[in-house]
Amino acid sequence: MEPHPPSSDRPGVPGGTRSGRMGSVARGVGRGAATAFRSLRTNSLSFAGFVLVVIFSVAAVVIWADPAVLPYPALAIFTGPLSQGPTWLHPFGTDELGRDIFSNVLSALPTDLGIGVSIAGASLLFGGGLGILAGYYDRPRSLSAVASMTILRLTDLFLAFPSLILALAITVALGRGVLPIVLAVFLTWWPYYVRLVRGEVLAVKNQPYIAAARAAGVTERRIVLRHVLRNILEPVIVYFTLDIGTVIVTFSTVAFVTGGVPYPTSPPVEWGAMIAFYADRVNSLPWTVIFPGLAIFVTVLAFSLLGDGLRDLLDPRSRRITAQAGAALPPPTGAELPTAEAGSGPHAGVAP
Amino acid sequence: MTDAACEPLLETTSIAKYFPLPVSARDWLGRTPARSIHAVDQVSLTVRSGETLALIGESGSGKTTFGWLVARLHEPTQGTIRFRGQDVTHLSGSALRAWRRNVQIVFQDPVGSLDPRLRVWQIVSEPIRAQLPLRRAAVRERVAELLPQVGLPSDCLDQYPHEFSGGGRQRLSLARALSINPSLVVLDEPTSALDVAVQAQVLNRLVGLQRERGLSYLLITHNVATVRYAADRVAVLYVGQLIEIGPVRAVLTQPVHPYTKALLAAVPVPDPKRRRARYRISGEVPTLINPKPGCRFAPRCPFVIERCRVEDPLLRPVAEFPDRLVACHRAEEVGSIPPETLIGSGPAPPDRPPSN
Repeated sequence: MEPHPPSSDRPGVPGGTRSGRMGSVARGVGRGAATAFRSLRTNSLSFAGFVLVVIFSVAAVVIWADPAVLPYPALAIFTGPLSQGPTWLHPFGTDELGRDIFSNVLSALPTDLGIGVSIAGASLLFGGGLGILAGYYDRPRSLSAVASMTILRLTDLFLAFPSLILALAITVALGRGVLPIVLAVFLTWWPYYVRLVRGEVLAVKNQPYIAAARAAGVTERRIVLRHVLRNILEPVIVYFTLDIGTVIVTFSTVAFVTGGVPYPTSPPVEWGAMIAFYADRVNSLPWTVIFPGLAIFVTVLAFSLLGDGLRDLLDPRSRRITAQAGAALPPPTGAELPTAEAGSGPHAGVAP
Repeated sequence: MTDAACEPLLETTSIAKYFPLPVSARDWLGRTPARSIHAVDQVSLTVRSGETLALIGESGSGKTTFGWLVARLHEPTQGTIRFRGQDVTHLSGSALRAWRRNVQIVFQDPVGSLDPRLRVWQIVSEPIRAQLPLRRAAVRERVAELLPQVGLPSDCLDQYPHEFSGGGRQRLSLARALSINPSLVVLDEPTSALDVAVQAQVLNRLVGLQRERGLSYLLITHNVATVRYAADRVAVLYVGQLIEIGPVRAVLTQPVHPYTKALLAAVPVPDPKRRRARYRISGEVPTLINPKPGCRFAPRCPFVIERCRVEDPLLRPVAEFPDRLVACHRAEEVGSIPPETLIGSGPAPPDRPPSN
């Protein structure tokens, strides 16, 4: 460490720039969130996805915290007329025992969202972690290369199996219940994240800025955390967001086929299990099937739209461009101006 | 810049970098010996304290690989690197990271060498934060002081690299390299991605900074004009080998090695009346994969004798040329031939473009 004179004392740095610089710090923080929101709003579809995901998440937390907010208790019978179509009192209708479909669909929201986020999240952490190991640490003839090879071959083994069939087989082996299905879907899910993350890491790790960080003396661990993670985050987060919807569909499919979730005898309620239970009433009581199906559809759609919006949001390049298009231009960088060059010694203006 | 007689700052001894080629199943079965690309082969040179040593050569001659070796970004296959007399070839771990503050590198690609996710102050301060335990405010302060020195405004700390032009990005690269006060900066084609006007600005800044801070530069370039303007000495690489090294003015006016002569004769002269040098060489650059013994330039050399094809020429001083080392068996005879009188083996190009 060496002492530094105040920048205003230095030749070539006018005193005025200092206050301007400090002002830009505060501006930078507030500007980030504001531009992010503005950029999201420029695309109305992804903004709709964002709003839907927020509403669903808030609703899921509220319902999970206090099930009494539901119009009727979940799974309760004789809440109203039997086998009735949608009315104001029962917006999604009732089944032949008078269960309120609206309450049941809502009570499944925390379960299905939680399942989607937890399976995709666990796959992201587990598969993504292995993907970083397999992608970054592959120096030939080293222990890490052997580990990477093992990870990749294991991944191939899982990927070679049709994932739905594998999930069904694991569920059947593990027995009934939500947790066995969660485990089964997770076991078939993480290999995709290994492949995705490894591919992204391979693309990033040969970028010159990684060599630049190494030349600066940054440790390998910090290079991974600071440069690699940050640069692969955008496609991975986008994939993750889209994936939550896919997980919900897959989970519902497995629940539908195996009957692993015991609707309507005991909680938790789950959309796929509801559809499976009401499937043979699709002609007589169509609303009992349509509304849980619609719930899955809208949830998946919301996450897909949000994922597309995030792609634009997370890239500083496109963010700045949308921000410029939507708002006042940022001050010019002045990077091209040869201000410091003018008259700096005998070399000024001398062409090579 | 002027005291060229200073002590050696960085010294490489017979340094080499071979990149092994993958072994196919057929190679393995047929017991073909392992093949590798000899990107840098037995290069010994010295960068003196406070000087600019230019490294020139055509594409694929190993200039960049040599720069990466010096910056310890590649592990050398053989040879040693000494820095201020200390052997740094086998430094690793935290000792290597601590040593890196001495040698910094400015990369060829001004776009790819700046992390697009980081802000200017984070990019420029990367060496500082890796080496010194400074708080964020102090780091930002240092970056803000540094930016005007490379010709950037000090209020762009929170911008992203994509907001800068090519010249601006190259200045950011330069600011990053200088932030930790290195003694040697490897400049890997610092201006080749820039247009001519910006090239001049960046070169001026480089020369100015060298004076202010007493830096040494290893300037990797293929541009002879850049060498003439900015360098004190010049080293010529051909197919991974050092073939000639000496003071810039002397080498450019009286090159000794036949390849250096050809390289300089190929530099276009912006004067339509002047007849272009007749000295031309034909043939292709030989392969870097397991090269044959003998002079690498022998297949294309107009002065080739039998000895050139069997015996590797060693880098040696030539009597008439002080402070010069040349790797040519016939350096004494060839060196005294004035470049204008040389007639090469290749077809001479037309003096004027044909008028239609």
